[in-house]
Amino acid sequence: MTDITANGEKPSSINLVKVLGPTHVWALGVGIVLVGEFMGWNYSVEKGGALGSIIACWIIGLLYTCVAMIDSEVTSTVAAAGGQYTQAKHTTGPLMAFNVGLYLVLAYTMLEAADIFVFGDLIRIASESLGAEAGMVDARPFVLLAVSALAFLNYRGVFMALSVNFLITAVAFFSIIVLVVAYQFGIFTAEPLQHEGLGMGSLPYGWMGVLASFQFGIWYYLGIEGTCQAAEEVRSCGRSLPLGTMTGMITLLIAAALTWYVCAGSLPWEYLGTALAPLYDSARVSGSTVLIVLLWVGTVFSALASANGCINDAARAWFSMGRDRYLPQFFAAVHPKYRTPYRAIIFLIPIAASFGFLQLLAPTITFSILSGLLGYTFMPINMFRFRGKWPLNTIKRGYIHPFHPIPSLVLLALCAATYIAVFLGFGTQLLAMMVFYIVASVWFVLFRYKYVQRGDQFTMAWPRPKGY
Amino acid sequence: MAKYQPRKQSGVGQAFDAIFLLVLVFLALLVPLEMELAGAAKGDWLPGEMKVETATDGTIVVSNDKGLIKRTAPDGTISFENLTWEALEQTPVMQAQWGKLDMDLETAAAAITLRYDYSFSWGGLIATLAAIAGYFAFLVWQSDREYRQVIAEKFGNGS
Repeated sequence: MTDITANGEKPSSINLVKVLGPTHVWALGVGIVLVGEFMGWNYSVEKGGALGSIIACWIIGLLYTCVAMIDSEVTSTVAAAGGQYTQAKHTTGPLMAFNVGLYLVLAYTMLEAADIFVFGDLIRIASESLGAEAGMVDARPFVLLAVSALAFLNYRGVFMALSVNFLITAVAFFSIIVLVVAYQFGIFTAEPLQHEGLGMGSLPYGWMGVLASFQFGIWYYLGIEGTCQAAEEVRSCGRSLPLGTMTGMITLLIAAALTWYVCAGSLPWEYLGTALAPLYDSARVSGSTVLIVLLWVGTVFSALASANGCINDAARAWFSMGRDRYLPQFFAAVHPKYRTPYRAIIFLIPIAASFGFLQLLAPTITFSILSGLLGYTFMPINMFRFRGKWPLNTIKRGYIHPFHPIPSLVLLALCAATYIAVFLGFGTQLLAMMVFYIVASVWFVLFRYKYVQRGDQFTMAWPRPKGY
Repeated sequence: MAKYQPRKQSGVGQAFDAIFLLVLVFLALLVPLEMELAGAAKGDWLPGEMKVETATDGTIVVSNDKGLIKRTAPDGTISFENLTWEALEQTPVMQAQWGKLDMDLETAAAAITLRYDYSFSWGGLIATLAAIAGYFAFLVWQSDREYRQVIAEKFGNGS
């Protein structure tokens, strides 16, 4: 495979470089998502109470397990950058691929904006804790510095970027474990967890609240499917991707359950539901300086790891779309020395930063969740078409997920329920955001598809699809 | 099948397309805010039997059967009468945790006495779900037409 540069030629064979292993895949997936345990998931408590939130956590966990199963099978077979976008090209067609590419870019860019917004707030919280006057610290220079450093890391090479992600994600995960162990065994703090005393067994809004909390239940896991973006850069795709994705999913299920357990046992639900950084607050009420500092570091690292992973994934999706001319070819260039999609990386950074700086946090999160959900809705379509066009044993699959079609049907049903939850939360705002994707689709069909080389969209060495 | 030769796009055209998409994204973020489209909103809530009245000066007065009263003035100022932790149904454990979060009774009460109202329009829900279903149906239909062109060019006509 060769890369297409801005002038439309194929002058060289500079490709993305295959240097990643399963730990990097884990670091990419968990790194993007773990911030969801440090902030965001708790809005599901506001929607349905603490008990409603843990029910949503389990049900949405099932949704993501289906996503991971389907993704692992298709990605272990379609080893190319772009993840689900490249899958869509091979199973469904160009327009669907264009939309899936946009879901990926927007879900990750918006999530990155939310990450850097939270990072700025954590800087402010820390400076005020150290004695600065409230409201006097401008966190924006720190945010800009952090984003620039992450962009540079991604520009210089994927191996170092994801190795750093592995380290800081591991520290963040470790901080959750330490907090739970400290509360459970009375280390650093004499405070017990008090689920019963905090009334965690009730559903303040009944089952309607449980349904509504699905909206932010997604935040526990949003982005794990991003592991597929590394497909073109892992050494052994068939082994590393399913291994990294499934261990990542297991890590997140554990982290989500522990996070809920410790926060629900230490914070009143009305507070927990609106907190900016609930794990940090849980450490705060423990009264232990060690835990407070550790959880502040964990929260900062999780935000940086997520932003780092989002830069990586959004750029790969944007790059892939440029390479296929779904977007301007200018973005399809690979750095001759560092072998990274550097133009896509540099282009998307100021966009994410501007979303963060414009204080558009609520619509940004809405857009990120909606884009993720649309992408999950595509996956059952993807799976049915993949198995229909190339039944088992017609092509070599790195991994075959069990129980087909049950995971696809369960995923479709859970996506429908989550759309209702998002409607309950965002109302007709959801419809307004759908207009974006509809207008973009019409634009692609009328003005963009003419630049696309038809036969080049199918790059896998597979036989002709059944029925075509 | 003759191989389709796509047009080459000029640099200006590429810049225009990138900017067009960016503008579209910003519009999608800002228009819902400008149009004040919203979903479930929080409203006043008190434990027990609740009564809501509007005073002549526009103040919203919410009271319950235990004598707790919440007043929200037109300028948004909130005040309470007969406010106690017990009236808010907060257990001693909850009270202690609010204290550790540096939140006094009044501040905590402002958070506790707001709850979501999940009533919704069936018409809006059906329209939204129909739009999503229609959007995916169009995507699959149009993509399939394009996919046949891709396969024909890649593998030649005929199966």
